[in-house]
Amino acid sequence: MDLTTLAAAIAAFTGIGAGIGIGIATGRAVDAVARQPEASGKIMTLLLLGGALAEATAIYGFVIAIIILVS
Amino acid sequence: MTSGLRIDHISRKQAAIELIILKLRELVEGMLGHTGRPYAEYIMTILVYLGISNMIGLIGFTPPTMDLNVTVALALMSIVLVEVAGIRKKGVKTWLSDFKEPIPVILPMNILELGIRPLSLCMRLFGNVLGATVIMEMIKVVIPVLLPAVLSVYFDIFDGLIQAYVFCFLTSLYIAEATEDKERETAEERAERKRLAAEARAERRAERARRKAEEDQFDIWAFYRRLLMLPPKEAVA
Repeated sequence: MDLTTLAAAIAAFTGIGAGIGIGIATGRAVDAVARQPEASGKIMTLLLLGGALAEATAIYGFVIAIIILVS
Repeated sequence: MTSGLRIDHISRKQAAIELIILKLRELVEGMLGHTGRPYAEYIMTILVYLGISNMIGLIGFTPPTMDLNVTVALALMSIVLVEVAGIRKKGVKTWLSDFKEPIPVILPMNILELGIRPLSLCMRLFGNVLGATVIMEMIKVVIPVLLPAVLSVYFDIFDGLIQAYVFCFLTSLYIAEATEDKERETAEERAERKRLAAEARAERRAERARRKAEEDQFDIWAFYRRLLMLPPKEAVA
């Protein structure tokens, strides 16, 4: 079996962290909107930003996987 | 587009352009804070460039940000701008000594940050655009009808705009952090702060002593003992 494929698959596990992070962030955002519905616009912007930042870890994993596959 | 601009009796085209520029500037200056205002035009340019180049996949071109060279160049420009802004604001000496803020132990981290910041900026942008394009191509192979059009709204428009915004947001955050007016405390202020802290401590100690004295006056256990007609504590010991 080719080990580089396996290495790339392992790199894809970074998705776990991003998933948990975005899940927590969204849960908290729902809490916040339930508590203060009038602040939903601001919360939405912050949530999108936080989601994009949390997603970055998964993206690093993807980039590493591609680097492994290409090299 | 910029030909025939006038100060009064502006054309519709010019009014539209002015509206877009004003809105963009409002957005960017909100992120930069008042100390980073001179750099707003650069951030606006980057924002427009990234927004268009991330969405250009919609009309069938390859997004330029899918090339690592483009994102690396952008990230390097950003970090150079951040550091130059810091030096222009604070001077070389303060800029250097700020590497050991807030505590000297963190010095290696602050130096590493010079490399990590542009690395994460360019990898985030590159990975997001490349990932979105790869997923879209895979979906086009599996289900070529209708579904790619729906998903393209997320992967091309939404994700592209968000990533452009995040890139500009982080760059302007770094600039705002590098140029912020920090309160540098002088020797007098430090002495003043210490005096105030000592006063507060003395006050707290006095308060505690006062409460202790009150408790001593009313000893609840002695009261119970008297109530149950037990002998006093000293007699038991």
